[in-house]
Amino acid sequence: MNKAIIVKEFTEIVRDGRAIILFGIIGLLLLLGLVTSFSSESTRSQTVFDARVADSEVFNAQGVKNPHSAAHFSRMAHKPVAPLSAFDPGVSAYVGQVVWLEGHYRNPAMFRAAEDATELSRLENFSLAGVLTLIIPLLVILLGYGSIAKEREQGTLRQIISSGTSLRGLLLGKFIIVFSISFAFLFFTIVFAAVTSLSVFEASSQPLTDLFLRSISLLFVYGLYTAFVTATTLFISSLVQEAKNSLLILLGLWTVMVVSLPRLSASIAEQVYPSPRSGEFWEAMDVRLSQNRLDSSSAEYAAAERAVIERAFGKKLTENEIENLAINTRGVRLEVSEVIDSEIYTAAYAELFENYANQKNFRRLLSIFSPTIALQHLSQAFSGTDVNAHEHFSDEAERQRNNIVRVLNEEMIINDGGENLRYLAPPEFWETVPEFEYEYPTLELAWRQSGADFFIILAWALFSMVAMFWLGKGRLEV
Amino acid sequence: MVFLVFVSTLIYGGFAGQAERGARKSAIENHDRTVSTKMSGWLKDLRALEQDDGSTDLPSLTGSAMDVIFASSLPQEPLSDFSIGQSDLLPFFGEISLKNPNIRLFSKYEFADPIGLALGNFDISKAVLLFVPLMLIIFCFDVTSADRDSRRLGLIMLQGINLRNLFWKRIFFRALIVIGVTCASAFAVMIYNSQGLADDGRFAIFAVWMTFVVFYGAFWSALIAFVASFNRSGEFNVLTLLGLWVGLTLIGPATSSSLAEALYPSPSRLTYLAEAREVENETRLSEPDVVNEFMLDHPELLVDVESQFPDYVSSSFLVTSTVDEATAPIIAGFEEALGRREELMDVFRYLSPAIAVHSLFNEVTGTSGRRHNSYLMQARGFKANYAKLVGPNIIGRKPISAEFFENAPEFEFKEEPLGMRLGSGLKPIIFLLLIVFSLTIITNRQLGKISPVSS
Repeated sequence: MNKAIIVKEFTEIVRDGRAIILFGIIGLLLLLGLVTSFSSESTRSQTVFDARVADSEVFNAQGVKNPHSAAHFSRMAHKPVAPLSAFDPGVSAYVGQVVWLEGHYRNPAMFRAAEDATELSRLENFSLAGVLTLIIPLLVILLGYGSIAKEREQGTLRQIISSGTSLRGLLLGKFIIVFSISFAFLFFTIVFAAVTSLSVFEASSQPLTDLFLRSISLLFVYGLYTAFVTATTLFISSLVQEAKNSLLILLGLWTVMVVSLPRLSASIAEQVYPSPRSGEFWEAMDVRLSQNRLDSSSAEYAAAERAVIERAFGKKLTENEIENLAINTRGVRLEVSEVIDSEIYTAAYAELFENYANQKNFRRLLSIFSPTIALQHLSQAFSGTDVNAHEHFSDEAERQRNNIVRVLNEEMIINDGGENLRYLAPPEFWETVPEFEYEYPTLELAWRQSGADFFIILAWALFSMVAMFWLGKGRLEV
Repeated sequence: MVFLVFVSTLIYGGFAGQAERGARKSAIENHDRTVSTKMSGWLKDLRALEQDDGSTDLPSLTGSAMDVIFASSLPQEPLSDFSIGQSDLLPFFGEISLKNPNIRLFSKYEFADPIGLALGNFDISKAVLLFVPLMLIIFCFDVTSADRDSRRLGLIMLQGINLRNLFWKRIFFRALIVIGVTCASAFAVMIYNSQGLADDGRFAIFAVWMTFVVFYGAFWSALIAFVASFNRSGEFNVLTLLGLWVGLTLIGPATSSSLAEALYPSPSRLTYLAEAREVENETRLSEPDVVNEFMLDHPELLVDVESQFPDYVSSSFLVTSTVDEATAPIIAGFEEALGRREELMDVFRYLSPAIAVHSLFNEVTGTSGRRHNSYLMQARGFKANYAKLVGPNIIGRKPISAEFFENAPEFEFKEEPLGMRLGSGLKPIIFLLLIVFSLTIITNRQLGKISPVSS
């Protein structure tokens, strides 16, 4: 009997011109999204690669130069294209693309791609994920709003029930067909996005298994979301008497839960946990840095100096050995201040990202009113385009900065026994400075950080399906 | 209940816009204060140097034009709380200094929540753009379809009631309520947010903003009337109108934006950066040649060989100037791509009222991308002029005088008149108004075809 219901529903859908038109529009939007994302991501990937090569070449071509000057010129850390940014660009365009690894300063990432985009993109920007989040629910509503209500209006519901079909079987059959059609769109979109990502990726930077598992994770959570929308649609359809009212209620819910609340939640979160203004942030940083400078005559400072010198020479040294070393003391002082300042920068940036986490947690709280919020968090996390991924990159860039500056300072410490900064490193030295080898955080980290969002969306899906099968069944007046 | 939610959304939008504007104003004031404090200290040292009584130990860079910083900011327009626009994303203040090449002039951005930026800011203009059409659809879609679906429409017509009169009165009354509530809420927000502000043309600009709201409401009312005039079921009307809303308000803008960016992509900032760094390195490596070239361009220049100014000051100036000059074509490339995209967007404005009104809202509140980019251009231009003025001093290793500094112009943003800013955006509005009139005429004709028998 379920098979008959499914066949019948499928036939009606195929015959419904509106559904075909909507399929066509969604297909076109997804195709447009796929083409533009493939084009932009492959261009970006190539640009990042070229920029990295150019940066390496220019750094290695500095000729004879003082290492401290080189520490100010330094290197750039380029953020690679995220694993599935072709599917969900997330916040990629709104955080910087490259970090200047300058000595003395931990700079924020520069060049947000969104600054070069049209201002209309702030009204709405359809990535593949955006189409699936916004438009697929509309498809489900269109396919399902009249499932029960229209049958009731037309008097066919009574006939179906009297023919021996169980109410649960009827709901299940309608659920299967509506869910399957929507899931087909999800499936092909995510598969094509994953294939696109494969073709633009530097294969060495991301294991294939990680990409595969990310795609499965996305399919899973989007599947849960679609199940929630389908079950809710059928639930509402079974509750109300007229199909028109079912449509109005569902569209109202869509407007609130899918269109309005995600935007509003971000705005409210910003009011509750305001992000620091950059002027205040950098002024506070200057104050903290100056407050944390150690007195050069203190025991703490002496210990820091010893640690720096021992690390430069790669071994423990006695007081006597240190005194007899012909080292550049200016270089030692530079490295000590670098080590101390780096701790302050790390703490300040950790507070900044903690503020972002608080904003995210607040939005998560609001997802009790809209699972779309939780879905967006998960989608970005699995695509590698959320704030956590950027924090990971930022921290790794800082680690590299400390590495580079240490190598440059140690070059001065070891090779120049004077007090000055006139030491000039030979041209071949620059090639010994390590390259930035960045590996994207694993999927495991994304799951750990987004576990709560997953449970929220799972709860919504389960709750709506229970409501559909049990409450809907109880209220199904024929 | 629906109206309550709608009005709450509008009021919250007003509140969010006000909070954002307050934060921007405070950031600008803080910036001005910081620069003023720094330069007061710098000027004090310079005056001490000029008095030259030898009593104070002055830094070796006292009087160096390289150390001069200018405060620059984009003034906040009177109604900027009504639309956040691009002001949460693009720079609106920054220090202008010869120490930084143009590529790094505004590289330290604001730390707004990236997810908030990605989802788009929320203000009263955004609320109007998204929700006024929905409210109109909810209240007007069944202007006659409710009667038709209940099989009352034929009876109504048979009683001698003029359907056209009835139709237009209902549409007008319902639309008036929605638009009236919108305007009243916006007015209340405007009054509340004006506390502590000078008028400064705020009321006048609000009147302009309101005009666009009324136009927007009128367009959607005409569209709803047109769909309703086909005398189909309420279900049909809702689906069609929602499809139009999704198309004109969501898909249209997103697709236009993607197309514009695909057809006229911006040059890559990473390529710009790579080029700048290459020039910086080459300039440093060939510094004697660069200095010679500068001296040839300034034959009147005498270098003070006994100056206390370290070598790196003039090196830094030369490097920065050379990088700016070499990368000027890339910046021109950015501006050209932006210009072409704007031209294409001008076409799209004719296709969707949301696109047309969105840009007008941003222009009238001074938060458009165009105004921000104009500020960036003017800041770069100001820096270049200052560099021309003081370059010989820096290369000649001479301090500038206190008198010179006090007479040096400060950065002042040159504003385009509001009429000019709105100019190109008004043509699509006029075109869309013609569409409104055409739809009204067609609707009226359609209504004449409805007979009591077919209803």
